[in-house]
Amino acid sequence: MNESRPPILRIRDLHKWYDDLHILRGLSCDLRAGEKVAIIGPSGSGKSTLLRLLMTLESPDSGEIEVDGQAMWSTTPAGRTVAAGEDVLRRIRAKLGMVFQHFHLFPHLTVLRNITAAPQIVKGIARDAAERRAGELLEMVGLADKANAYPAQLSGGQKQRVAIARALAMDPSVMLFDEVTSALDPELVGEVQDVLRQLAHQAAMTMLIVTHEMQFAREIADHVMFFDAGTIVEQGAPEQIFSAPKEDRTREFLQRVIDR
Amino acid sequence: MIWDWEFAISILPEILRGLGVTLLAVFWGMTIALSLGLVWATARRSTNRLVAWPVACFVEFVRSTPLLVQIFFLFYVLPSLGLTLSPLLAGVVALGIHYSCYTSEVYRAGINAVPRGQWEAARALSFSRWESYRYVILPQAIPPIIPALGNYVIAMFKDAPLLSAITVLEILQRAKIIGNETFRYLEPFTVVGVIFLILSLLSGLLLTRLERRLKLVSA
Ligand SMILES: Nc1ncnc2c1ncn2[C@@H]1O[C@H](COP(=O)(O)OP(=O)(O)O)[C@@H](O)[C@H]1O
Ligand SMILES: [Mg+2]
Repeated sequence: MNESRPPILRIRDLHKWYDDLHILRGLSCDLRAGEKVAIIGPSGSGKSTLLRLLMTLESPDSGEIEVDGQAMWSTTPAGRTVAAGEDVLRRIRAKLGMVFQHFHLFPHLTVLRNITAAPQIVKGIARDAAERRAGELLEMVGLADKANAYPAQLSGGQKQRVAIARALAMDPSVMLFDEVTSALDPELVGEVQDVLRQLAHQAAMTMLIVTHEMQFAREIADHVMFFDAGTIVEQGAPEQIFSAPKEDRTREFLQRVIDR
Repeated sequence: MIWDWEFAISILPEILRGLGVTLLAVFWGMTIALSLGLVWATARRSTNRLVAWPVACFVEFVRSTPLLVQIFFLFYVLPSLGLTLSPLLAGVVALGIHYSCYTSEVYRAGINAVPRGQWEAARALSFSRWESYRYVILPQAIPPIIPALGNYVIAMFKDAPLLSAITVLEILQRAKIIGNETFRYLEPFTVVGVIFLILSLLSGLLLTRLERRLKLVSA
């Protein structure tokens, strides 16, 4: 990896409260471009909240976030935490793609339109170019024959693969995956994981994957972060985290999920 | 007083002309109500309180004052503020604004029923707020509320005779004039009543069918 480049994601001392719940407690981390990072940890530890902050679906109470060298949230000399201007935020958001646990496909649009809508509307890409690209992406996720179907006609696994194609159509450099197989029937998990594996082969794509599938995390990630109570308790290579965790909390957590 | 068929038929053309004016007023009134209602609904959801709050107050104010007072206000008070509207225009604007405050609540319910995740997915794809409304939220919010909006069309139709109070030559006003001239009130007002009955029943029927169609589509 080229260490001289700034990290694609730079997070410093991030805090988030919901009323009097302290959800993120001073989170800091860097991600290099192309890195595949798995985030594991008990539910309620703030994993989704971090992804939602990155996607600007929520605002932090304090801390700094930089995406590809551009400040999204920064601290003023007076110590106040401020967001970048709306146009900067929009540019930054375009570099990020997100896939949700519950898909959130647009039910009133066909699969094809779900994928072409944002490139056409947001980026102003011509319809036939957008459709050509959507065709390639559908091919990649194995759903070329479903272009004209509506989301309601698809299985959960198919919906999630469309959602991935939809996010990829905007050509993000960072993809955020929030427990994308958790809402699926067990027999449909594999087909979605296959798509993620395929995506992981793209060297330039940075992936931040929140998952409860430890085997999958170990296999796909080149870096694992263990979250607990709003902080990164331990992070490192998958081998180290899964085979030789240093922290008690990591060990307890892994024991609990693997025994299940 | 005995019902006179011949007289009833002879006044029909004049009354139907009045019906034309009534329908015209409802058409334009509803056009205003449907567009302004959407503006109020989105404004009330604005994150900017300086936008959301005054609009909320205005909507509540209009909803809690009688339509007739609003009609009189536009027709009699505005001229003293330097803005004179023709009776029909004042009436249409009053109907439109009054009903926009009801349609806005319908829109709000429709928009609130769209899951949060749809907003989040749109934002994650870099849609602006306006683009989210236009391409993601409203296409899902509006079909289910079409029957409710349709009911307000019927309600406005039944309220339109209030425009006779500011001399608009709509259906009731014409019936009244016929009565004043001939001293026969039974036929003109009965004919008007029957026309309202028929049109209300018809549009009610239409709405039920539309509702069934929409249910089929969404199922
Ligand atoms: N909008 C919200 N309002 C209040 N509490 C919230 C909200 N969103 C999440 N939380 C709470 O924040 C905590 C962390 O949530 P989350 O980031 O979703 O955890 P994880 O994804 O690790 O399971 C949870 O206890 C959750 O109940
Ligand atoms: Mg979560």
